[in-house]
Amino acid sequence: MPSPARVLKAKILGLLGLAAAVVLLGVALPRVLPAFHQEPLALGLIYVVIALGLNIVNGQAGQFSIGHAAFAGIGGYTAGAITTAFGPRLFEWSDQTVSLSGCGPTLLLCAALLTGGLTAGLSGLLVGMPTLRLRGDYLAIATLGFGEIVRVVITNTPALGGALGMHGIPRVASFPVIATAVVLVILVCRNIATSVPGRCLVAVREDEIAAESLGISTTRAKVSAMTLSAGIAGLGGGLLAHHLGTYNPVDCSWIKSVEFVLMVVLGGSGSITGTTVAAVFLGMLPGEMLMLSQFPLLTKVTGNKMVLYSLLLIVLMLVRRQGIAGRWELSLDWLRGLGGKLAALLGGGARG
Amino acid sequence: MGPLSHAAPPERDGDGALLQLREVTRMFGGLAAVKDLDLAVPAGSIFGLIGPNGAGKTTVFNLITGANPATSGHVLFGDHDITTQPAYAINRLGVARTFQNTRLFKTVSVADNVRTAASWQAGYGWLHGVLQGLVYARREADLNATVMALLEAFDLADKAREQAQSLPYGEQRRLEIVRALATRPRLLLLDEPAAGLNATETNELMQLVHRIRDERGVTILLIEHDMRLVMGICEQIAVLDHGIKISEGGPADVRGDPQVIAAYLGQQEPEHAPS
Repeated sequence: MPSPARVLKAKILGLLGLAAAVVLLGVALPRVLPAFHQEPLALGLIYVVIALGLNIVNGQAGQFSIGHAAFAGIGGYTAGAITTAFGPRLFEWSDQTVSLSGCGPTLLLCAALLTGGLTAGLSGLLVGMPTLRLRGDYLAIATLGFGEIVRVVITNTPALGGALGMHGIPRVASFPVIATAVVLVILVCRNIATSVPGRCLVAVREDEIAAESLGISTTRAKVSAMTLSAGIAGLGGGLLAHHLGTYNPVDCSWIKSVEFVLMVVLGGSGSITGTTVAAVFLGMLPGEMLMLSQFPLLTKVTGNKMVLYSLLLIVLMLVRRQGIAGRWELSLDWLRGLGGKLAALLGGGARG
Repeated sequence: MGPLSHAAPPERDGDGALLQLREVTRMFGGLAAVKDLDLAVPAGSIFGLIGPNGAGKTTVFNLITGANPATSGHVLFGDHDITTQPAYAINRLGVARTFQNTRLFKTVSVADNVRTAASWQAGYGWLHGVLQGLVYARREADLNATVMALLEAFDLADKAREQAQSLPYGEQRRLEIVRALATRPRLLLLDEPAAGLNATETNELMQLVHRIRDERGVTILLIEHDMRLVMGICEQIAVLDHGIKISEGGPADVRGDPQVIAAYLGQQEPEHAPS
């Protein structure tokens, strides 16, 4: 039986580790990274949040949603509406503000992001409840339709900016904010994967009939997964809105959703490590390709990222169908094992 | 889980029966896969359900476990009417099963297969799963102890970290039984547990079934084609043919029943009867 003191010690060490990760990712990395890589990296990190959300339902629970851009959009528009309404009035925020200072503004941003996430989660619940009772691909069809509905409704709502998108959202989601969100979301996903709810999701993915026969309410597991998944995507959308300062209805379309699906599939369905790596990679790709297009020969190749995505998918399906990481996860145990092997190798090399 | 309330179940006869089926019928379109079946499985017994292919045996399992509920009639488990309960709720009341073709979580480790089955008893959900504080640490430690004890008891402990699909076939079948036991059932349904096993493995299985009943007090209802196994371990046997119960009794009674022989071997048609 683990003693409270030991658990507390492990928790404190864990929190310190998390804080270190946030500082590294949110403060140190932007300092050393050349300026022209920063914008792509920020996007990549925000996409990590959305892709990890999608990974819960697509990867772990084995269902198929192609509507996560819409859930992100709902979160983004909701959070954006809140900060544009209250930010300028309370804290003289403008759409050019880049730094958060003080408790109040941080709280407002957190509240806006959370509300965005909750709204998105609620819409995930609404889409999931009727469709997840059924087996198979109904969720895919429903989320596809839902995404298009969201896009069309926003396009035709002048209050939300219509087809031009929402503008003037305070740009307060800087690197530290994004890094905090990414680290927290990774932690939440990892904790779910290593506890009862996560195991139930995997059971649903592996065999629904067996899961049900073992006392797992598969409908409840799937609907919870969908709700949380959409909620995390909504949080990511909120970050995106406050990073770019605008949100476009086009970014809610199913084409954008497919990009997130690609991140999960490329990284390895169900793998948090793989999804994170793939999301950073694919998120940074368009920005980095822009850099490459200064070389005249490469312009033709880099002009169309969808061609590259398709190529990537084809190569992946031929070479490694389970995705880059498969179901593998980076863990402390693995790092220790690697350290041991390296030490043995170096020791052996020195002796030989 | 509090006690579930029900409309008063039909009056009971056959005291001591853990599971009772009363005039249970399951229709598939116009076909009655199981028709007006009465069955009483005494607590603590090893009960066999046999019959030729297509007799409706697996359908009976499916309607007991809620995978495919009965069209009419009542299924009673202890004091509960479980006829229309969802499958997961029936398991939580104490009914576990294995499948004709094993349904393991293939890419999951042996230990996690069992851990997943024990999960609804772990006593925590999303909140403690995400927070992973003291409650999580304690419940997971309990869970782990339960899982390892089960794996030890059934000789699977040394394979705990292997993927379920990498086990030899016989061990996969055993793992499925262990996984079902992890839900702490009072009644265990085994659907052709000896299918695909060789003679040695079948003998081991017979001992295993006995052990489960004797050490854990689990009542066992099994479907089997291997007559040596059925006659060897079942205390009571019911024979199904075309969804109708044609015989019931001890192994000796059933073996000698002309109707059972007819169902398995065919009946001499009267017009071709020797004159």
